[in-house]
Amino acid sequence: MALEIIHHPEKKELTVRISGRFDFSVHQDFRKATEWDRDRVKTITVDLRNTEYMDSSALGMLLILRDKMNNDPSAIRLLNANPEVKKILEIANFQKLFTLASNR
Amino acid sequence: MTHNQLAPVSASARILIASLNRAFTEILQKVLVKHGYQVYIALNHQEAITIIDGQNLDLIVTAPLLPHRSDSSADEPIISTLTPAIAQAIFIVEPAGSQAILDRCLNNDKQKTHALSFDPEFIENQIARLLRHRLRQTTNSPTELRNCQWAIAMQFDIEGLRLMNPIPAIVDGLTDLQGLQGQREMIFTIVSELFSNALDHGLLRMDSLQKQTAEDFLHFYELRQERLNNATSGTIEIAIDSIPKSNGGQFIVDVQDSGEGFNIDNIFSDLENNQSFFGRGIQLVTQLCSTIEFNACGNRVKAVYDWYHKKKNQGNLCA
Repeated sequence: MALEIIHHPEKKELTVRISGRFDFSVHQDFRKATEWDRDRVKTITVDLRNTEYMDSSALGMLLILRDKMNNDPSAIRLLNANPEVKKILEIANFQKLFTLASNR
Repeated sequence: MTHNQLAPVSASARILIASLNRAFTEILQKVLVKHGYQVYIALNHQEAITIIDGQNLDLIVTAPLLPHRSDSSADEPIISTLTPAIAQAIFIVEPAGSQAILDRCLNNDKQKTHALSFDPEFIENQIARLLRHRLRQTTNSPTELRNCQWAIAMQFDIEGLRLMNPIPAIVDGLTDLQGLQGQREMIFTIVSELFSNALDHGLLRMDSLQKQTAEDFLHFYELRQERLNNATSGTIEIAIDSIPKSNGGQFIVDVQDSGEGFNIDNIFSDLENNQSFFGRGIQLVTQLCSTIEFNACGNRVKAVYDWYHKKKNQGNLCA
């Protein structure tokens, strides 16, 4: 499955895991990640450990997510991006808009 | 066509057409001879090797595919096993670097030999372009290594574009073939973004729908698919040149669409003014590439990406 969404109700956290290509082909599944109530989801972790490619539509999707979380940079964590994906995030200055983290 | 006037060496350049498809070689041979090239033909791997060894060739053209229509069988080599979406594709390679490509293209004896539809002038344009590029290189830096320069040129028609996005398969196949796996993600990003722009904005005119709200963005892809389903015409041409250098290499990605063009300035100004959900593709390519140029009307773009070996003493892989 290219995109998985896991809800941790006790932590009010959503984990979105993308495997392989993060591009427009996952946009329908990604939409589900934007449909949670703010009182049930306080933080989102986008797990990029298995994300091989990211394109500009993925950047757009992440911005949608951020918009849903009221543009709070600490509300969304982009986790474990590989060097190529990280380069794309940094070119787009996403380290200013999100929290980039690693727990490898 | 006046390519012969631009570079005298092109007029007598020695070209080998190597293909299992006799019709392809004969039709292309006629057109290339008309343009003044000296043309050889090889219809199998052994003939190709013999001619390469015996003649001082400038370039080899090989056509690794047949057009895939829904009723054709699965015995199609290299690119068309990766994707059914290409109307035609050709490899053009310098003889020194041809082995891997010829192995893949000419060792599939299940390839059918029925006539295929292709545009020989499109192929001639690509040959002339590569020869002009090589002439400039020779004039500027005669001692620079020029092993394994190759190009792949592809045309997609609207039927193919409707079927699928061929870019992932093409980039995977190319970078695997040439031992350039380290550059796969960057090449994928660049080719994919330019292709998407050509399709979304060049052919499908989605730029008129750039909105700022999340809901509009989410509907964008649904509307795009609908437009793609209903479109009756449109072509995209992509040429990717790979040029090795002593310390790494260079990719030149050239994408042209049959649309009326779009205004790139509008996209850049939107990005500056606000946090647009759109336009980041071109921004990304601009940051990754050494140069990016659009033609005046905006339906053609050329991006140059330079890469460097990470380790010292790493040879140029061109197996």
